[in-house]
Amino acid sequence: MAGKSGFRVLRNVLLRLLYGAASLVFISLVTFLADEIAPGDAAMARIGDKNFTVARYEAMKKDMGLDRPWPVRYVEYMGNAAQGDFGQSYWGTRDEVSDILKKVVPVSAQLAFLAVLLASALGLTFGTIGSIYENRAPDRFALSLSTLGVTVPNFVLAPVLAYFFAIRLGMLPLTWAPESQMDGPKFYYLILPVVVLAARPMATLTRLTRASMIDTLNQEFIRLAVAKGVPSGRLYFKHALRNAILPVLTGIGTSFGYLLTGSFIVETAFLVPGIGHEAINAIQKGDTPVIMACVIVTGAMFIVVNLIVDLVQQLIDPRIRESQV
Amino acid sequence: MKKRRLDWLFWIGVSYLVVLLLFAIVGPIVRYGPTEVPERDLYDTGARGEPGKLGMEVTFAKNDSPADVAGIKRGDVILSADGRQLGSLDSDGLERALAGPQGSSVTVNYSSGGIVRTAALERTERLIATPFMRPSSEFWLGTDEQGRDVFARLAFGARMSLTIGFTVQIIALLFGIVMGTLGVFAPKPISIPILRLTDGMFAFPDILLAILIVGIWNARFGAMIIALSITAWPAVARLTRTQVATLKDREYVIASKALGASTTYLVRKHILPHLWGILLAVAMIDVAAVILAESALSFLGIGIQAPTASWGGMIQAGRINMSSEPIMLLWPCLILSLTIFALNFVGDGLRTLADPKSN
Repeated sequence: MAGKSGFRVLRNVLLRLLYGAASLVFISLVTFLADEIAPGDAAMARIGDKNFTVARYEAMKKDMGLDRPWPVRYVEYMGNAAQGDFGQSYWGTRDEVSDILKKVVPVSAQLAFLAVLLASALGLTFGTIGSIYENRAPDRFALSLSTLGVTVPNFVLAPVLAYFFAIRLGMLPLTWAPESQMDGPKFYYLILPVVVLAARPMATLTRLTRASMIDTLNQEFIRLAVAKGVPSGRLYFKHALRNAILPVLTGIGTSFGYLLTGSFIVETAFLVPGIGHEAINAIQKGDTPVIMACVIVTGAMFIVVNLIVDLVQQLIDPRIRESQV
Repeated sequence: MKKRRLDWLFWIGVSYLVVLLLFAIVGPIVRYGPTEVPERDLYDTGARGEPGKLGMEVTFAKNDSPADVAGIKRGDVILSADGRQLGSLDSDGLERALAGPQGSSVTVNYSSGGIVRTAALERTERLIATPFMRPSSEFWLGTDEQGRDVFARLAFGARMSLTIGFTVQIIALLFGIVMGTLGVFAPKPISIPILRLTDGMFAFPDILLAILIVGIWNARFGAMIIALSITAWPAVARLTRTQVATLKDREYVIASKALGASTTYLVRKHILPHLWGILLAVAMIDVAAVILAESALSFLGIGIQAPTASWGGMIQAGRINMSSEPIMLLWPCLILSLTIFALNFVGDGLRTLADPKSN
C-alpha cells in the first residue's frame, strides 16, 4: 500500500503544481489582455502628447515591436518577466520596473508576514477560548470581536485607529517615514499597519478555529480522553487542537490572498512604500508596465502561498493525501 | 425539527436598509435637487466682513459688486439687513442674514464715516463656501473641507453605493446562474471551459482584478460596474453549480426526467425554484462585498472621482483633516459600517430561512 500512496502523493503534488502554473498563466494573460484592449499604449507614452503624429506613432510602434500580434508579444513579455525583466516605467527617470519591485516587494512581504503571525496567534487563541467556553461570556466576546473584524472594512479601521492611537494618544506615528527619518524604532511604524491588516484574517481564523474545535471536542476520542482523566490543558491543546488545526491552516493560507490586496488599502492609508502603494501610484499616473508587474507579482505570490498551503496539508493529513484531487 | 425563524437582527437590518433607501432617494432632493452635485448655491452682495458689536464690520467689498457700486467700503459697518439687526451675530449668522438666492435683493442700513445710509442691494456674488461649519438648520450635518453639505454628500454617496451594489449584484446573479447551470448541464465541450474559467477567476486575490480593470481603463462609472461585476460573478456561479449538482440527483428530479422531461424543463421547474432562497441570501452578503469594493476603490482614489460624492472618497478626504475635524471621518465611516452590518444581518436571516441547517 505504501508504494501506491506514495504515487498518489506525487501525482497530487504534480497536479497542484500544474494547476498553480495554469493559474499564473491565466492571471498574466488577463492582465496582458486588459492592457491590450485599453486605450493608449507604450508607443504613445514614449512619444508624448506634444510630438504626436500618426507617422511617428507607427514608426515608434514598429521600433518597439508593438506591430506584432499580441500572442507573440505576450510570450515575449512573459519570457522577459520570468527573467525578472518587466520593462521600464513610462514616467520620471524610466526606472526598470524590476528595480521598483525590488524596493517595494520586501516591504509588503514583511507587512503580510507580520500580519499573518499576529492574525494566527490571536485567531487561534480566541477561537480556542471560544470553543472551550462555548456560548458563555468569553465565547460571546470572541464572536463579537470576530464579527466586527469581518464587517468593519480596513479603510474604516485604519483612520479610526490612526485617530485614536496617533493623534489622540500620540503613542504611535501617524504615517510611515523614510528609514533615515524614522523617529524611534521601525517597529513603531509597523504596529498600526500590521494590526489593521491582521484584523480581518484574525476574525476569520477565530471563527474557523472555534467551529473546528467545537466539532473536534464533540468527537468520541475526546470523550474517551475525558473519561480517562486527561488533564484539561493537555486535552485541549494536545488532543483537540492538533486535530482541529487543519481547516485553520487552510484559512491561514487563504487569508494571504486578502493580505495581499488588503495591503493596497493599508499601504495607501499609512503611506507604506510597498507594492500596493506603488500600484495605486502607477494607476493614478497611468504607468501601465508598473501596474501589470504589480498585478502579476501579487497574483503569483497568492498562487505560490496557496500552493505551499496545499502541499503542507498533504504532508500533515493522510486523509487528503489519500484522496483524489 | 427546529422552527425557522428570523431573529431581531434581521429586522433591525431590514429597517436600516429601508431608512437608507429613503435617505438615498429623498435625501438629495430635500437638500439639493435630484441631480445637482451638492454645493453651496448662495449669493451675497459682495461685501464681506467680520462680526462686530454693532453689525458686520466690512473688511472687503468686491470690485463692481452691488455693495461696491453702492459705495460700501472697508471700515464701514453694516447695521441691519431687511430690518434685522446684525449686532452680536457670529459669522454664520451674518452670512445667513446677508446671503440668499441669486438675483434676490436685500435692504441694508450701513454706517459709513459716521453717517447711516440705506441701500437696496442685489445679490449677485457667489458666496465662497465656508469649510467645516457646525451643523445648522441649513447644513444638517455641517459642511466639509470645501464647504459642501455633508448631509447631501452622504445621501449622494448612499445613492452611488446602493446603485452600484445592486446593479453589479444583479449582473453577477444573472451571469453566475447561467454559467453555474451550464457548468452542470451543458455538454462537456462547453461545461469544462466554463468550469475552468470559473475556477480560474478565483486565482485573482480579492479585488485585485477590479483594481486592474479600473486602473488601466481610468475610473469611470461604467468601468466600475464592469470591473466589479467581473469580480463578483464567479462566487455566484460556484454556488449555483454546487447547489444544482446536488439538486440534480434528488428523487423528484430523476423521476421527472424518467417521465421524459427535457433538461430546460427540469432546470426551470424543478431546480431553479429551489435556488432562489439561498441565492437571495448570498446576494445580500455579496452586495455588501460589492459596496465595500466600490468604497475601497474610491478610497484608493481610483474609483468614483471627485467632485462626485462617494463614501470611500469621503473617508479618504476626512482622513486628511482628521486631527482637527474628526467628525468628518465619523459620518461616512458610520454609515458605511452600518450598511455592511445591515446587509450581513439580512443575508444571514434569509439564509436561515432558506437553509435551516446552516444555523
